[in-house]
Formats: sequence, C-alpha cells, structure tokens
Amino acid sequence: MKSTHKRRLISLALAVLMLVGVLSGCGSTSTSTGASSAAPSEESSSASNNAPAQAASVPAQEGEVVDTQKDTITMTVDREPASLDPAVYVSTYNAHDQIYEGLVTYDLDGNIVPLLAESYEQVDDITWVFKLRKDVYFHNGEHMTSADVLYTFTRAMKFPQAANMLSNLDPDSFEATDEYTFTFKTKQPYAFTLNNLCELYLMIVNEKAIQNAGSDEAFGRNPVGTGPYKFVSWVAADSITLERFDDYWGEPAKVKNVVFKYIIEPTTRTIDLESGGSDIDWVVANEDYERVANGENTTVLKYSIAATRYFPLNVTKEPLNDIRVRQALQYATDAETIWQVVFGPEVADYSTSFIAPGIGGHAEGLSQYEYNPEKAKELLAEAGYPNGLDIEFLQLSNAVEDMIVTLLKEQWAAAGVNLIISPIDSAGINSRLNEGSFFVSSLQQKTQPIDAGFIMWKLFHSSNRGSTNRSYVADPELDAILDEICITMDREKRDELAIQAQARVNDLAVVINLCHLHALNGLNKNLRGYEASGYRRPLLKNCYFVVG
Amino acid sequence: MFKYILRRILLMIPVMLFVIVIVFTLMYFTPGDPVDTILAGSDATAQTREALREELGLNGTYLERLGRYIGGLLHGDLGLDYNSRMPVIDIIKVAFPSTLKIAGAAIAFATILGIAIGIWAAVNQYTFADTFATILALLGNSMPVFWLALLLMLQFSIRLRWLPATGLDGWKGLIMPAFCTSVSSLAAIARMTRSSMLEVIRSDYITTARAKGVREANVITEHALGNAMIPVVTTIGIQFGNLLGGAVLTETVFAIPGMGTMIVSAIKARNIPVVQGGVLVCALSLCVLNLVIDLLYGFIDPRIKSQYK
Repeated sequence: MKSTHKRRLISLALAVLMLVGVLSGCGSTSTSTGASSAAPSEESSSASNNAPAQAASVPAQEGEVVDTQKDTITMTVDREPASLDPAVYVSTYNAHDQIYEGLVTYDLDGNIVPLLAESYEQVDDITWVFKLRKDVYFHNGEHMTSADVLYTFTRAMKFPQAANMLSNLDPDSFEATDEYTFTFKTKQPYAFTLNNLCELYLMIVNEKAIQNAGSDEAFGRNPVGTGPYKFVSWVAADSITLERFDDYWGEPAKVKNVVFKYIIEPTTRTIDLESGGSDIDWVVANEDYERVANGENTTVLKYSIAATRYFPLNVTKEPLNDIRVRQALQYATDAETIWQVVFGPEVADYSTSFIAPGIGGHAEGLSQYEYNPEKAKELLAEAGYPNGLDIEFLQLSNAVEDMIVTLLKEQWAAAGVNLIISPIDSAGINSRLNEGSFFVSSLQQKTQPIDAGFIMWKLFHSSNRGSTNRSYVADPELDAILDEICITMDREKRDELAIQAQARVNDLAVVINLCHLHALNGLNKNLRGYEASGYRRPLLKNCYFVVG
Repeated sequence: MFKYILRRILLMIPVMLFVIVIVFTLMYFTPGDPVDTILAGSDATAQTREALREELGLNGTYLERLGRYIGGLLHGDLGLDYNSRMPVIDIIKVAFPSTLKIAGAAIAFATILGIAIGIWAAVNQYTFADTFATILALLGNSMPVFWLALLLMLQFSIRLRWLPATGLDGWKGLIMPAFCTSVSSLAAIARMTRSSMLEVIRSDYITTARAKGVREANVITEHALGNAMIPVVTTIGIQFGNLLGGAVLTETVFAIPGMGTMIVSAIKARNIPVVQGGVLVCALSLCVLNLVIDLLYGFIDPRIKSQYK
C-alpha cells in the first residue's frame, strides 16, 4: 500500500509538471521586432521615415587600444560557395571579395572608382580604355599585366552564366594594347558597362595559376587573386581560411587571418557570435535582431540593400491576365499591416515604391491602390467574378512565408478571393517560377548593381521573362522605357526613367509591393573598421580589434 | 564462421542495389530541377539552363540515367556534386568521420551509462533507482534534441564560456553534440537493460547461485549480465546504426558538417549524386554494423556461435 501511495504521488507530481510546461508554452510570445503578434499602430502608417543609412560602419573611438593578440577575424555565413573561381556563378561571395579584385569597384556610396586600373576613359559611346596599376602581384608571385586582364575577360565569356551577364561586351574587341593598357568595346552604348566590370565574373585572374591548377574546378578549390587576403584552405561544408597577402599592392590587411564558417541555422550563428566563436554574423535573423543589437558583447549594423519583397502576379495565367482582377488583388491587400506584423520597421522599410528608400528613383505616391476590399469586390464583379474566385498561391515553406500567407489569406477572403496555398521547398519553387507554372507567389529580389533603372529593367523587361521578370509582363510601352534606361548614361536621367517605369508597372498592376529589407550584420563589439553598404560588401582588410 | 561472413557480405549486394534503385527513383520523381536550384538568382536564360542540364547528365530517360549511375558505381565512381563538381567520395570523406566521431562518442557514453543505470534499476526494482530510470527513459525519448542543444549552448557557451558553440574542434567541441545525441540512446539502452536483467535475475540458476553463497555483485556481473546482454547488444546496434545515418538536428544546431546535414542539404538542392552517395554509405555502414553485432552474439553466447556455418 505504501509503494502504491508513493507511485500515486509521483504520478501526480509528473502530471503537474507537464501541465506547467504546457501552460508556459501557451504564454505570450516575445516582442521581437521580427515577428511580433502586436496589432499595427497608427503611428507607423508613415512609410519612408525609417530608411537606414546606405553605408554603415563601426568607427574607431578615442582612447581605444588595438588588440594585437587577436589575429583572426571569423565571419559566419549562411551558405557555402560552390566554387572560389570568380567566373563560376555563386550565390555567396564574401570570401571572393577578399581574394579577388577588378579593374574598378564600388565605394560605399555606390560610385565606381578605379581599383586595379589606375584610370579609365570612355573614348566614344562604345570604347573603353583602362590604364593598369604597375605594382600589382598575384598571390602566386606573378606580376599583373594587361595579358591577365585579356585572359580574364576572354575566359569569362566561355562560362555561360558570365557570358549571359556580360552579353553587351564585344569579345572580338578585347585587346591588350600594351603591357599596362587594356581596351574593349561594347556592342552598343550601354549604361551599365562599368557596373559589369564590378561583377565577380571579371575579377582579374592569372592564366598561369589556372594552368597550374589543371582544371577550372581545381582552380575553384585553390584560388589565386590579387586581393589583400590569399587562400589557405577549404574544409568542405565547414570553413574557408585566408591569410594576409604580404605583397599586396595597397595597404596590407590589419588582421592576419580570416575564417569564413558555414552555419545554416540562424540561431546557431547568433549563439556563436554571442559566445565569441565568431566576430561577424553576415545574416542576423529578424527575430534575433534585438537580442544581438542589445547584447553585452554584440551589436548589429543595419543598412539598406534594396532587397525588395513583393508578390508577382503572373499575367499569363487566367484570371490574372485581366487587369481588373489584378487591380482587385491590389485593393484587397493591406501590405502595410503585413509589413508591420511580419517584419517591423527595424528590419524592413514599408514603401509603395518598388525602389527602396534612399536610392535614386525611389518614388512615393505612385500607387493608386489603397486597401479597400469593397472596391476589390466591385472590380471582381466587373471582371465576371461576382461570387469571388479561387487563386493558387505558391508558397516557399518557412516560418516567415507562413505568416505572410496567413495574413494575406485573411485579407483576400474579405474581398471574396479564396487563397489556395501550395507550399513548396526552395528547389521546387525555382522550377515553378522559371516555367511560369504559378499564379501568385511571395518573392524577394536583390539586384546588383543597385540602380533603379537596372532594377526595373531586370524585373519587368519582356526579355527577362522566365528568369527575373516573375510577373511575365510583356508591355511594349514599359519595354520602351526600360530600353531607354539601358542607353542613358546619366544616372539622374535614368532615375527619372525608372520613376516612369514604376508608374507604368503600377498602372499594369502586375506586382504588389510589400517592403524593402535591411541587411543585418551582427558584430563583435570590439571589432573596428567594418564598413558595408548595399553597394559594396565589407572589405575585411580594414578591420581590427580593440581591447574590450 | 568464414562461410557465414562471406555469405553475409554477398547478401549486402542485393540490399545495396535495392537502396540505389529506391533512392534514385525517389529523387528522379521528386519535383524540382537541380539546375534551377544551382542557378537560382542568377538570371540564367533557358539556353544556359539547358546547357547545364546536358553537362550534368540530367537529360536522358530514367533507365539511361540509372544505368549510367550503376555503371559508374562499378568503377568506384560515386559521381560529382552538382554545385562544386567535387567528387562525392571526397565530400563523404569529410562528412563521415564527423558523424562517426559524434556517433561513436554518443554510443560509448550511452552504453556505459545506460547499462549501469539499467542494472541499478533492475536490482533495485520498485525503489528510487527504478523510478529514476523510468523518468530518465521518458525524458530521453521525449526531449527535443534541438531544444536541449540550445539550452546547453546557452549555458556552457554563452554564460560560462566553457565549451565552443559550434564545430568539432578538439575534445571540448565533441562534448555537447555527443551528449545531445546520446540522450535518446541512453534511455533506450537503460530500459532494455532493465527489462532484460529483470527477466534473467528471476531465473532458477541465479537463485541457485545466491543459495550457494555467491556475492551479489558476482551474481549480477558473472552470472546474470552475460545472458541479459543479447537484447541489449541488439539495442546498442540499432541505436548506433541510427546515429551513423547522421543526427541531422544535432549537426544542424552545432554546425557540424556530418552525413545528416550533407544528405538533407543535398535533398533540398536536388543534388542527386550526393544524396545517392550519402545514403549508400549509410546503408553500407548499417549492413556492416549488423554483421558485427551478429558476430558479437557469438562471443557473448557460445551457443549462438555454433550456428554460424
């Protein structure tokens, strides 16, 4: 009897414990800015009063002592590059940025400045002449000349992806005019020629290094560039290690070693930063923003990268081929509420302009579509859907998209539109988007260069259907504006044309704008010299540590 | 015994073939084009995509592609990673040792502690020891691994700064991942040891040993434990086999480049050669492990050894 009584007591204790656990799990969620469940406040209705700085940096402060003991900067990234060969397309290039350099580069404000070229000149509409620096060496000790530039340009055109991006360059015109002069022509006047030269594909490589490697794949695992850091080792799926290049032509890197660690899980990257395992977290998750920003040893650098979140409406699919249906969906969407609930002002800017705030070409007030479900119903009735309609939504399966789609479903239901959600993973969604076999989706587009005209051309020109033109729009009037952008050299004129393009896109109602995400880089509080902007990723050669 | 081992090795061939066909078929019919994943965000044209598809050998019928893969396997070629064009075998050479380290450490810890707790619970049935073992088993089976991992990281990496949060550098890097991975195995081994021991210590020969005045410790260790170990060894083998397949959650949370994360990442990217190679290696490891366990039975119980002809 005694043991029975004891067993009952233990069972009761365990049951109470379970109940406590269940009840604590049902408690209020944290008020992280990333995914708050709070209702939107009226004060946040103003759209563009929170555009963060284009450039962000961690400045040095007076009286600080440089930490000479710490000789490694560790950066965690969310994905591993497929190759360190600059001619191969990759989706992450932090390591490349430290190893390679091009003829020109962006400064933090987006101006294009000479780098391996001492100077350049546009001789006529299509001809460019570059005078090279004479003091540049590759990591294998070879001296850089125009032969290397010619080799780089010619080689890049053999890679289909690079050739596609550089299609306006005329390969037959590439010429090493003398030992330190390189000349080329474009096929026609092209406003983004210099931007092309800032692309990874045209980072200068050494022919001998590639021949010694034996193959492009081998070179991609043992890269040789001219940058302030040289390659040391690569442990697959784990890390890439670089070391200071002592014969660098410019000011040598301040810290000897750089390690890029590959960590998929955002929470793990945050913990690694907080525990001192790393010094830079390249992508802080929205829900970790406040924790890292207010951490004892950590801080967050936030800046605009013109990463636009939007809903493309596929105009090739019925009923979205009817402009009244598309306009109805515009009226049915309260994008500001979705932004406020899912992202919040700390991690994204709300804007009705397709171009992010702070960038030339950003234009408020173009949208004609204030949230109005009744107006949406009227338009649907006019279009022949008085009882509403069903629309499939192709949704990438993750927590953020779940929240967006849940809110959107509710909003559209008020207008009589039944959203049928089709969840899919990242591999599946790309195929469906490329094939055009979807109706509506939720996408993020980050474009390089950050130029309003280029962004509009990329996302809305008819020639880009099946790649970046996700609404599959083919409008001659819009194409004409976008073609004009490509041959307009003056940046301000291009921005004006970009505004015209946005107005036309608005009239066509082919996308629903949501917001523009910020970059959030988590940093060790003792790190100095870290500079980044939407135009230029950080160069770690300028970074160093101070004693905490 | 040699004939038995040879027969078992030969039997592995149809098993491997079956695994190859199943995995290939599943990946073949899963929606999503690897080329679209590789070129995502790159503005690739349809021609570029088609050229890459041709280069990766993605054109061709189901049988053609399966035949090419098996043909390569017969030459020891597991194919190339679609992204990096690295040989799959080289990627596995990095991933498998990491998984082996974690699995080995986890199973060693779980075995030693699990058997000890199981014996303790069995000889002290209906006491605190027994209750403790039961609660431990419940917790071990119910506790989410990722939750435990994050809790440990919070305490030991951030607050105390005793252990690194990520990676497998040195013995310190192994402690938290191995512990997290061992918890459910520990629970299973403890439970199996307890129930197996309870069955054995009620046997007549144990009663006889006690009646003859044998010390209790010797009764347990020399007389009871040997007979109780067969199902325990089976459990250890099953648990080890599961761990060798890659503790995905542990590897993901601790950012360890093991088999689990390799295979899951490859599935998400439709990186078919890596998936096939990874699953093949896991299946082969399981087959070898099962053979080792079966042979171990022969050493634990000589009566079983005589059946291996």
